[in-house]
Amino acid sequence: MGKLMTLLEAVAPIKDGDTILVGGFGPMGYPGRVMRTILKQTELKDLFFIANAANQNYLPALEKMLMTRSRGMIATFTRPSKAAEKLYNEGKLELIPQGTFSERIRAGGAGIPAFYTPVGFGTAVEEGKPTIEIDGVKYLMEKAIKADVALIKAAVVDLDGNCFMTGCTKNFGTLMPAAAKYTVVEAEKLVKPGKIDPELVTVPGILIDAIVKVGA
Amino acid sequence: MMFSDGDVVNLGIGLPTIIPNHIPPGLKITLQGENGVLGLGPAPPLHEINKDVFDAGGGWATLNPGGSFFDSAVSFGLIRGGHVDITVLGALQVDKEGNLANWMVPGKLMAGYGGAMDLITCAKKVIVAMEHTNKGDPKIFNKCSFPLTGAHCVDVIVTNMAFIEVTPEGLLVKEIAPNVTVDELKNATEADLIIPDDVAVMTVYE
Repeated sequence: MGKLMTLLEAVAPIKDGDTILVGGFGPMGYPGRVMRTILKQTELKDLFFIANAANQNYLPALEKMLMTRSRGMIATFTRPSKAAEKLYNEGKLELIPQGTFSERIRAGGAGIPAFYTPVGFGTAVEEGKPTIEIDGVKYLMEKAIKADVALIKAAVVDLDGNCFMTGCTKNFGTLMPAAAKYTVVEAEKLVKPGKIDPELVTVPGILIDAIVKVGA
Repeated sequence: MMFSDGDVVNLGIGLPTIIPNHIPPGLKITLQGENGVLGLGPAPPLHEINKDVFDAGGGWATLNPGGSFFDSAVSFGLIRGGHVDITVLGALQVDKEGNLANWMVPGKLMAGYGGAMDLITCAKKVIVAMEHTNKGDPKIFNKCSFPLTGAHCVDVIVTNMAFIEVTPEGLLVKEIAPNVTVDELKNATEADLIIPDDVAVMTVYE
């Protein structure tokens, strides 16, 4: 079977309890059609979402699933989101700095189990983490993030899964596929292999398992 | 003027976003957006919006000649690696030790950190730009009571009332706004202030 699928076929491998990386900086690069399909056409539950932001206005499908079908979330910014507030009050929301978020995902995909960063000392982010001093500077150890599923969006995708992401839509979508066992990409435009300049590929096709055509 | 030619500057959401409209002609700075862009230009007219070019507050933006796009790992590599000279951001509370709180009001509001924590830890200079008070209630304290975004990180506080440097001795008022008296400034500030007798009057750029 090729990688090009319907939305329902693409989300079929996702299971109850899965950890799901969701691309996008706000609505830009966010795979809204795939998220709506999971919300409206599956009964999936106990999902754990890893996304830069929750936002009840711009990311409604994520908001609804966080409220009723999620066991927790890792995020960097969650305003405004009633669902994120609820998870936070239940101790199920891990808030982390955005650079640490990016690097934990990058590390997860790159075979690096943990790294050290100076970001977070003197704040809640520091709690419970090992520290080290290197050349007189103190660092926190942050562990890599790996997930079952990544859901991303790209401006152009070829049938082998090679992705080209434009402008500021690269954000986390370039990092997430390598950190997940199964990746679905929403293609605004679909082309034959070879039609994306190889110099411009932002995610190599070997990391993509399912392509859904959504239009711009 | 706190910016020098060639500086790479990151502007937070809120008050700092008006800064690009007040940069004197001839000063060349490069604006970074942590959402993956260097060389941000002014917001475009509606008919010229490119849906894939925006700033870190989600507002439409343009790219100046020589600008570039990259993913979030590269973007925060630039920040963490010390390649951003200045970050300007808002605050809910700031204190005389340079501690900054801007991600939550306990029991009322929970926003999260976004990229602020990385920026204030790793940028070479951290400038807080904000209204001096929250509708009359002080925002500058001897000790922040809200959970911190960063400890000992703020270098300068700029408000509608004063320009204040965070020094090892405390908060040193360098300039005071033209229409503000020393007593008014003290009354609007919970923290102890060091105010030299010959404190300068703030230059207001139109």
